Amino acid sequence: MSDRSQLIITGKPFSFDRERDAEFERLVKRYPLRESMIMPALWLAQDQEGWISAEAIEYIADRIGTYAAKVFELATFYTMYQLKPVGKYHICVCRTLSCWLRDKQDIVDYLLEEIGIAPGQVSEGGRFSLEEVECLGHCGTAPVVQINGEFYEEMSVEKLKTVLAGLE
Amino acid sequence: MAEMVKLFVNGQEVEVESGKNLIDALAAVGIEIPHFCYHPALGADGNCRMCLVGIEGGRPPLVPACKTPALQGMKVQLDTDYIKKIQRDILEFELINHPVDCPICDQAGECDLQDYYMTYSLEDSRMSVPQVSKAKKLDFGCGVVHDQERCVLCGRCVRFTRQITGTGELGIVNRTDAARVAIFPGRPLDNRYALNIVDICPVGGNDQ
Amino acid sequence: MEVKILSEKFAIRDAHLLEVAKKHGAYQTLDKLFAMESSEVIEEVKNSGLRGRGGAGFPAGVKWSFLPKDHGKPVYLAVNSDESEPATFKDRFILVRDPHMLLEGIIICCYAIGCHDCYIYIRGEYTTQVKILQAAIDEAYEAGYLGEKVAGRDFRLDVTVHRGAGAYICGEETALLESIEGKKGQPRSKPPFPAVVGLYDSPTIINNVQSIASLPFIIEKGAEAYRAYGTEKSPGTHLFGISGHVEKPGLYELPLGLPLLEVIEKVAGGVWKGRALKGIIPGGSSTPVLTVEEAKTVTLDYESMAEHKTMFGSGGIVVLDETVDMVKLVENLIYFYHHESCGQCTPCREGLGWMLKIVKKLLAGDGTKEDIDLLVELCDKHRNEDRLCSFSCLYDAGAQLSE
Repeated sequence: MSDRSQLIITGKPFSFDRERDAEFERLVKRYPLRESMIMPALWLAQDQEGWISAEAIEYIADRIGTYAAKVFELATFYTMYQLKPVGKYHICVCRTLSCWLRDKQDIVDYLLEEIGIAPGQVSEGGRFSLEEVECLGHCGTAPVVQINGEFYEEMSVEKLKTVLAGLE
Repeated sequence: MAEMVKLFVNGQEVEVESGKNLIDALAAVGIEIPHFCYHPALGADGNCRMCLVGIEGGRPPLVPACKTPALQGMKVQLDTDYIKKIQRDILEFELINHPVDCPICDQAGECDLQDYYMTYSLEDSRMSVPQVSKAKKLDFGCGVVHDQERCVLCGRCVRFTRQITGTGELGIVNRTDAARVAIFPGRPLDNRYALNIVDICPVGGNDQ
Repeated sequence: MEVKILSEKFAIRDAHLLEVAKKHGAYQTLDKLFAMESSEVIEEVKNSGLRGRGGAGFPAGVKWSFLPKDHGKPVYLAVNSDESEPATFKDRFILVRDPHMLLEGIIICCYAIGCHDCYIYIRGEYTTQVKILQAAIDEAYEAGYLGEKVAGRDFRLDVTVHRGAGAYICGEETALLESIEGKKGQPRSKPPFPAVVGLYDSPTIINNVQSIASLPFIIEKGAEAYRAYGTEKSPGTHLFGISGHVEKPGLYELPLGLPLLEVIEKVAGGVWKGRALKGIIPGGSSTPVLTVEEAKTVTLDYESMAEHKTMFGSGGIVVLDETVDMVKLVENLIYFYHHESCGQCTPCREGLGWMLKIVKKLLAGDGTKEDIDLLVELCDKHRNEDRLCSFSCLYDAGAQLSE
């Protein structure tokens, strides 16, 4: 894991929009402890903005009534929280065991050669970003790629070309 | 007067206060169990693994002394080859990514890591690959300067701000060997007791 | 070889929808359930011999009986759907293809242990899956199977989904509880065990999705019917995920106790591309690798795996063909375990990064004999019980083969 603690300060205040606000209030009733809402709230912030800024962390801490340092801990510990902006299409390629055995590297190589993005990078213009992730739990249909949360199984470079061409 | 129990340390009988954790109970009779994360004012955390001791016939036979109460008849092992090896191993892990810049460190001479190394290890370094680098001279506020590389991540300072002052300015961010103590940007230490974290740091992580 | 107990509805179109699931028997055990005493339910599950399907294989009914009596606190059920052990993808099928079987199992378990608040901890990566699960829960609330009066009985049950966010360690049961409480997923020291001091300091049972989903069958057909499958000490069926270098990778429900190589050959189509077998990881990435010789005599049950010095684990079988470079395999797995180390205990936090760098040095051709010796020694160290959890003890399997 690389250091995730260099948060981006946007200089703009953050707050939940009406929909997320309602969802926060609905969920908070399900837990006897408000701090249990840190993870759901981070998800809501990411869902709203696509990533999580320093301001979002501060907002969540104040809203829940906990330390900003604690929300900071969780945001950096759990690697699915994006702490910098990602592309319009965020591509996750599984790098672990079964996907590795079934040639996930071909897919990573293709993305570098054709789209020019290495893991951790965003393409020019912000259309694509790439992340190599740990086991996605689709080992029986490896290799697997996840784009904006949608799974694409039994992938190959050929199939990936078709999928990418079909994106808006 | 507290209730006393008799137990055995390396086969020798000692009388200690019942129910106290083994670190404190044995310290009272002059027996040291090395530890980083435990502090009497902050309680046991169990993360450093430096205080692991053997309990003959115990289930489990290997326990953190900080979380183990002294009981009548207990047979504590501190000097077996297995325990000594664990102590050397933990010190090796603590040191592989440590800068070992003792000559310019204010804590030198009163540093637990340094003292334990001299007492329990004295092994040569086997680190032949690049160390993890982290930030140094971080201004945590209230005059506290933090060195993430010297820090052993025992979490005493973090627990101090949460349990004692209730201000919670510090956290351990990231996971793996990228973990480090940090403040949230723009929310530095801001409490009257902040300088205590320099004092409770077992190593040279927090400086004035 | 395949059987259909858990996977009975997997092939049915739209079985995740309540209407379809009910047509095929969902929630039909509830009349029988509420006519039983809770102690009778626990006894039935104990008699079935159902063992925790998350990896450890601890008997589920026995676990439930560890709950203290008259403690004056709520009892919680946490359903472990973290499923983050590489090569494991069985619970996902239940979540997506038959979520109402899981919910029915949750009702059974909660009735048995006197729990009114259940949390399902689902890994964050299961993005599309969590939507299907949540929709099923919403439907179950609407139809009165969850909520103030479960199936019209005087029994309240609320089920809440808690999403993880990318941390393997949260599959460890106490790390999972920490995560629900709004903390970093770092395992707790035991004792106290969660059955006594668990979620929010209250008695808590943590069971894997597949264990819970097995309950409707056991209550409906009885412990004996469940025991008709599998072996005496490892009764029942399991959803085996077979992946890696086989012709037909996938999820297969099989009774326990079948010979491993026969399953690879007959069920999964054998090693792909006509290649020779090099080794098999039998129960998820953290279980020690079996050589071809060892694989010849092992059967798919807890006892046989233990006799072969490996583990049944999660039943995620990975087949390695003759082309696999074992040092690269070790790098792939150590990278994973390093990335996922929670950073709490010193040996795992500092040691895995060190090991990864040594392996990379070896792969770059700069390694020495001392580096190999050191790596093997570090692997051995990770077998020690010198840390809070056992997760990092386990990845040494592949490294051993590289000796």
